[in-house]
Amino acid sequence: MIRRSERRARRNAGVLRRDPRGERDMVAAGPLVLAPEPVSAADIELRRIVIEDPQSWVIAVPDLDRGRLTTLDRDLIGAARVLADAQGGAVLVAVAAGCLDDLGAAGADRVVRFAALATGAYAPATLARALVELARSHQAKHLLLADTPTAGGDVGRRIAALLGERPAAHVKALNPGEVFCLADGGRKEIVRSAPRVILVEAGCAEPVAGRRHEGRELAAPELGFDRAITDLGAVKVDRSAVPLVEAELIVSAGGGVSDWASFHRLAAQLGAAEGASRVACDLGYLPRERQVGASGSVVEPRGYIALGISGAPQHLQGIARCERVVAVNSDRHAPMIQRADLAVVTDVQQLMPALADLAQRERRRD
Amino acid sequence: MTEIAVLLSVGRHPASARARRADLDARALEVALGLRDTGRVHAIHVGDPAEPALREYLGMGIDRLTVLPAIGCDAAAVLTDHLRQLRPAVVLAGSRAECGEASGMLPYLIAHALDSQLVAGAVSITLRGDTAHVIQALPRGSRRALRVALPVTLTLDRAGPEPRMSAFGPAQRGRIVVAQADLSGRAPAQPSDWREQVARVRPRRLRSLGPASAAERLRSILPTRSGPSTRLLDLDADQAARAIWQYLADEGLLDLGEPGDSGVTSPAATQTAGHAGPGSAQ
Amino acid sequence: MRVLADRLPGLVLAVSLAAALVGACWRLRRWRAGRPTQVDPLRGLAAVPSRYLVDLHAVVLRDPLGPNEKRADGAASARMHVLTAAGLVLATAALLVDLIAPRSTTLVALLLVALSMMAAGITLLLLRRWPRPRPARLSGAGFDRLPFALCAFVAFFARAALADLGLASAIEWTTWSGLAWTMLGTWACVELFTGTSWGPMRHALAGVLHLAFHPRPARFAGERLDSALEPLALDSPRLGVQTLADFRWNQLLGFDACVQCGRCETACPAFAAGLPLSPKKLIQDLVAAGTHRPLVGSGAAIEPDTLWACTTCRACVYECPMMIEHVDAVTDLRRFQTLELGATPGKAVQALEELRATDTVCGRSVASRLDWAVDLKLPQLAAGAGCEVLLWLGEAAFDLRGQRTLRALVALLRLAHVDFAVLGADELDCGDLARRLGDEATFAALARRNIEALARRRFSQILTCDPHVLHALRREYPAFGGHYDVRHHSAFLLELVRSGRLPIARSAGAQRMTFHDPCYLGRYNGDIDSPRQLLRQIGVEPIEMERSGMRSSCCGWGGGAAFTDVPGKRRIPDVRMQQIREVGAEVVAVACPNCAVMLEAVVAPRPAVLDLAELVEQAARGAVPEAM
Repeated sequence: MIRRSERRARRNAGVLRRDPRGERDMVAAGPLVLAPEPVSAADIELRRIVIEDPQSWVIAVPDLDRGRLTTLDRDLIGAARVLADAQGGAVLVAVAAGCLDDLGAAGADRVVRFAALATGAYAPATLARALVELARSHQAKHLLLADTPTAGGDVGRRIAALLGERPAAHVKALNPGEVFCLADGGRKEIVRSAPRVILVEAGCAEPVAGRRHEGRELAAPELGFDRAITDLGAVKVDRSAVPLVEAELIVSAGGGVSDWASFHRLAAQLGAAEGASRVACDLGYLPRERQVGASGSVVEPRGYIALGISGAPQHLQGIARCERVVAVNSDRHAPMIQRADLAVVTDVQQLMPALADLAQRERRRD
Repeated sequence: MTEIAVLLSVGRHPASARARRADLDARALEVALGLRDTGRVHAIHVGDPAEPALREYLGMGIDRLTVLPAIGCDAAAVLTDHLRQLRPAVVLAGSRAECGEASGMLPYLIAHALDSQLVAGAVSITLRGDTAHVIQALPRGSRRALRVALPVTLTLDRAGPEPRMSAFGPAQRGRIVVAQADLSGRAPAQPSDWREQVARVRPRRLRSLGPASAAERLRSILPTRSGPSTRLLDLDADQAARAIWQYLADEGLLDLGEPGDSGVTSPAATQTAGHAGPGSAQ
Repeated sequence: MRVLADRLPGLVLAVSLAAALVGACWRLRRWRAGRPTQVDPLRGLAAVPSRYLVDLHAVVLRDPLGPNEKRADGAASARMHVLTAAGLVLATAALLVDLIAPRSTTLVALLLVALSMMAAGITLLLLRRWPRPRPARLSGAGFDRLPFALCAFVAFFARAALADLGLASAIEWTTWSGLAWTMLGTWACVELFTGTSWGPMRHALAGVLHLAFHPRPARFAGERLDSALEPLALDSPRLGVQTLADFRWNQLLGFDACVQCGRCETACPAFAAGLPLSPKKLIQDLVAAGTHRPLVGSGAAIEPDTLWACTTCRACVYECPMMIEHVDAVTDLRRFQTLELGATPGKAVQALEELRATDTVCGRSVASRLDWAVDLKLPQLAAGAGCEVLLWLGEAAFDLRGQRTLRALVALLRLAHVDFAVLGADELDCGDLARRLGDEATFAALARRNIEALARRRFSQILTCDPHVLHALRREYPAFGGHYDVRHHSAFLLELVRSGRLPIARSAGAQRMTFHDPCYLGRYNGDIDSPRQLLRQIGVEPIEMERSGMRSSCCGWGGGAAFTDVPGKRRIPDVRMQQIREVGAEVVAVACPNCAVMLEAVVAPRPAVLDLAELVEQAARGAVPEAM
């Protein structure tokens, strides 16, 4: 259901919607307005819940991504809420100091910020020890972390080792009585009662919505200092050379691209990995490791931008699991245009520099 | 002589459920093979010495694999005993097994018992005296460098190096050595009050919320545009660029990596373009 | 002294022959370094004349391939060689007899006749070659000296013979001119006889011995086809070939027989596409390599890319007048690389690992091989049951393009009321890909399990649309105990149509159609007629390309080349598609699902690619054959 104001804005902008009853193309006219009107926080009234004297505590430790809560983090806090609300308890969210989001709105009753731990710094052993201490002082029933390999999953398993208890790992779903852990290469689930340390996956619970909690700040305990591991900082990585299977945004060039300098600049400006269709690799413009498709790499990025790619079946097999696909091609009947979520029929050679310039301008604005 | 231990498990192919070398453990062995000139590699498996899939590890170029014959009981305790005697400077393992409970706890238990440092998601290691230089893989292709005091336990995931092919000849000729293991009083592998069932496929949410302002999140809770696809015709280059940029911003695809940067950034630089207010629609 | 002087020419000859014998022994040592193998020496030697005059000449008579070759060059080469070689052999025999027997005029006359045969041959050669630049496929080197050596031989012995007959003045050996003649004669004899150990004349000795002790004697008898690979003893201390000493000695003979004519090179699809493979260079590199050095590696005699670019199409073997088995050498080298070193490149590693883990190339479960045909309700042959025809689906069942072919084939089988069934989940991959990539272990395992599954069922024939399956099941499974009557769908459908079981509308197609012969159907299994007959049955007269039938040019899939993906200037299917375009075809008919995939991957616009089954199905539905 699209809000009427938004629908009107889109129609005025000349954006074509594929009419579900048939093919009716409307020619674009007028200025393009795609951004829907924003909804201010004041428009929505949220119920506010305050827990003064909790029966028990559940500690949730979100990962954070550059200071913001990820989807998984919100699911994590939602899961903590499920466990806490069943026992009349409260959720304590422990984060690094640089968290920008409103944790109360996310579902935290109390918040502990580790000041000495900057966002993105690496000190899992000290964090684990501090969390064990926090759990002990609050007599927390559960400690929930996100099951990510180098963040929550790492800290959570250290905590389990320190406590000498078996955690519930790869938790796909939970309710107050049981947790469902994915096992055996994803074939089986282990159903067990919720232990103290729970490591959750995305989708294990619904994020908190429609209400907000207090998010009262508590004093943070001191963190120790770990001499044994020194963080030497980030290693410079060429964004466009990230392996295709790891990349989250891929810009791919096909036979319709001739201005290669523009393509490389665009990939760099978008911070995207470079991919290619078979034709582009055959002609030697990009190395074979960059080929996306059935005989190249099967990729699963969050976003895929296909420039000048017609969309042969083998290539489409390579992006079968992509969530968001943008296609730019001068041929409106190309199969890639049909496949894409956003398809733009225009001259690829002119679009690439325009988009790269726009990206550069927008980033400089920040 | 530096001792390097690699912990190997038996994997299972997702489509045929046939036993084979576990992918992550093979990557761990690949890293160990890269350290051959600085130390002696010990490949260790806990389980059945007659398992044919173990030969696939031998085919990667190690001439011997040690098996601790403990089936059905907790591997961590058996391994810890064995490693206490071996005293390796580096222990390498895959981050997760391909069958069984696969909690990923084994390396952590071992590191805790041996009082060794642990780095998860390692990609490479270089030994320098009594420290190790480790590169760790972070999401989205970023990398982080760490200096770690020895002994260290490393776990590898899919960002680790591609394992070399297993060759049939060496696989047949390699030796499987059965080591003594004291199995008395080992707890069973899985508590009896746990229940196993076939994994249920749970539906994936269509839109990932991502880092977003409160307004954005609220808007996303109300179903909006994640419906049929959009086709734009007859736009000029600038209009098309703006349309694509808007789409990328709305879908949260733009806060992925800064142009030409290094991996981890400070929180201050997280504001991205595209969270546009009404005035910025151009 | 007088007597000795008269015999000088003969002595020169005798001495160089003796030296040749010594050289041959030296060469023999190198051949003996190879692994032992069974040959029948007497039968082999006795068969040499027929093998030379019939089989070898049949190859020479074919015109060499290539854009710059003159027409009827093959026949001219044959004439030249027969005259020159026969003349040389006769002359040598006459001279030897003359050396030991009393002087006889008839012998000398015979010598002159032989020498004039040689002269005629050389003249023909010079007339043919001199005006034109040398074709690129011919290496010069030692062979450039040969015409001159032959001329010198003819001149020297003719002069001596004429002197002997009194038709010319006697040669005074002690004068400068006599010395010059002697040196000329010596040089000629050294070049021609002692050179059988190291020079271009090596091909004479090695070639004859190679014909006698050929590794595949079945090539010269019966259906004149021997293309199946031999199994490997998997418990050997070394699997495959690492150094020259690991080859069998008659393979080493074969390499030495190479005359560097380059006919293999002009036929090689990889060479035509600019990949780093030339079969001629491959053999010459093997000849020049040290006996105990690893052959394959960066900087070694053979680069890895050269080895893995081969599509195992056997075009080089088919064109080689010396009957050298290039593909056997490549496979032996690949076996070592894969089974001992794990050095298989590119995506081929993944393909082999999936074959080992799931028995399919794509890594899906064998049970899902029938997923594409859920609506067709194909009858599955359970263990203990029987049917007339067992339809072997193959890897094509997992591929969208292959599924179209199979769907058409199933429709035709139903139309003709053929009692057929499929194996279901017991059908494993035939193992062809693994074997060509050198993984004998996986091939042997798959073959044994397939044969076990087939042994539990009763059927008269196995039907397949994939020539690779045809070759593996028909010719390579017998070595593992599986003997089956395997038919390709082109032959099977032809039989159905001819017998009237499959009614089709014979309507003349409006489109120009050509047929692309699969390597594994034509060269490997000898059937180039069934597809053409089938096309005629549906009313199409196929246009023939220059590279058609047994000389068909590969599509580039075979030998795992589509997986190892060695880069070249162009892609092999693009080269083939250009040949198709050049002949003006709008549709190319194929008989292999892999050819279909490779040719369809050529960037549009291109001629349409249709399998024989699809064309026959259109005809069966009464429609005019048309492109999709």
